Amino acid sequence: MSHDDYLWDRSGEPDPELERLESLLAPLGHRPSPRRRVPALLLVAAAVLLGWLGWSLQPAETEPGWALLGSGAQLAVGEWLETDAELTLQVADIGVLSVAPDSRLRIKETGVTEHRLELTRGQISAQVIAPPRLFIVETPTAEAVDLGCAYTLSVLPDGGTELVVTSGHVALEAPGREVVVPAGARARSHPGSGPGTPYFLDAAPDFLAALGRYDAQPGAATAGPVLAAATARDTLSLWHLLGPSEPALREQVWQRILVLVPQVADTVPQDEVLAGDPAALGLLLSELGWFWPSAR
Amino acid sequence: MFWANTSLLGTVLVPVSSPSALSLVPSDGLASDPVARARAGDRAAFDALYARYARLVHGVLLSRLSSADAEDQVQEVFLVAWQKLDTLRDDQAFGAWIVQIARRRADDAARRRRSWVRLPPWLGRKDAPTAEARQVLRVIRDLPPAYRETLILRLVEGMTGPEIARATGLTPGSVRVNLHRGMKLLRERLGTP
Repeated sequence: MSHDDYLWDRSGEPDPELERLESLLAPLGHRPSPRRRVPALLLVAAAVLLGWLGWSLQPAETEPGWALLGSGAQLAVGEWLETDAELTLQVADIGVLSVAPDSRLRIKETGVTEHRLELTRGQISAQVIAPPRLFIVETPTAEAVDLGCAYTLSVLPDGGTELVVTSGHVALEAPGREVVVPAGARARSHPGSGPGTPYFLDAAPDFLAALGRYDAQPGAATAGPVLAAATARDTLSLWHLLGPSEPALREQVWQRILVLVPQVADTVPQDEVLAGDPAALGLLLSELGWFWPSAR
Repeated sequence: MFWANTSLLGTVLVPVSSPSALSLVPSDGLASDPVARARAGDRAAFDALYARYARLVHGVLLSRLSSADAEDQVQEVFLVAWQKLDTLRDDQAFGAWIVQIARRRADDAARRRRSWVRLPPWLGRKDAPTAEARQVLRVIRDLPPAYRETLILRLVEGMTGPEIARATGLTPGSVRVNLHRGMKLLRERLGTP
């Protein structure tokens, strides 16, 4: 009965197996993060929905405020902002945006369901505390969709876009392709070709060189060196090769992933991955994520 | 001798000899005041409710959804609770009420098919759950609903039996039975002593 008492309220004689399970499962428990722990944000969103706040009744063009910190000036929807020095912008009530010198941007939409910014030149760093997909930045070649994170987004001199994620993860989207960039990874989007394959910042030079050649000319010939140079951590990049590939190449990529991270064979249905099933591919990405932190 | 008690966590068999099984649903003294104040627009009070019930909500969600979805749905559940707080008739039943919201929310989320993928919330954390932990979680999820929710609250969220009873409004006897039988079943399926 003493073990029953331990199960009930941790009194009595500890049950070694129960203690082991508690320790094993604890990392799966609720863990308040800054993003999760700010119910005030929920309250703001709810208050807007309920029409509680006065500004919720104002025209969409003026709600909610994007303020230039330090000056208190407001940036209105549609108004272009060009910077000659670094400045900080309060993104409504969801975060803060640092804008580098010589940047050009404007707010396209701001509201309860979406804040959309257009960046045509320069660089921004965003720290956003909000539900996924609430904050979106358009660049000339892609859209960065915040999934709860901090990141730096740059418009490159050639018109391309570079995204480096420092926490959480971001989806970089363009017609025909969407890539997912987790913390510690980078993706570039080039004019005319959309988002390139994401990779971790500490990827080996030979892998990056091979990946660059693949992105420039995707196909079996350029994929071979990518597969050969990949490590377990590079399965982030390999996963992105699965979706757009022809069946034969998809099979090669899948087989290489199995060599690098054989554990996924236990949990991910091979046939559905090879068929390009989105749910199976999503499961595979989620499973691969387990092996990135300690793979190198 | 047993009688069937259709509780919030499903139908369980409760020994009639247990005094707690016949007692009234325990009141949640911690919840009553913050609920009233939150309803009046007090954000700090709602913060207190969030701090008090987040583990409970997460545990209920985790018994039905992936970890990534469960994490995200926690805030959705509290958003719904905030919006519908006026419909809660008994402030002392806040825990049981938000559990019902969490269950409905989990069922809705499970039905929706996403077109984009989710990464696990522990990505990059040094204390990421092990493969064995995920396997054990899968086994718990396959248990009957009454057992899986209670076991997840106890083993994953770290709540004690009395805390689970207070938070959910279940009788301590029901929780104790769920824990005991759920653990017995879990041991059998894991093949552990």
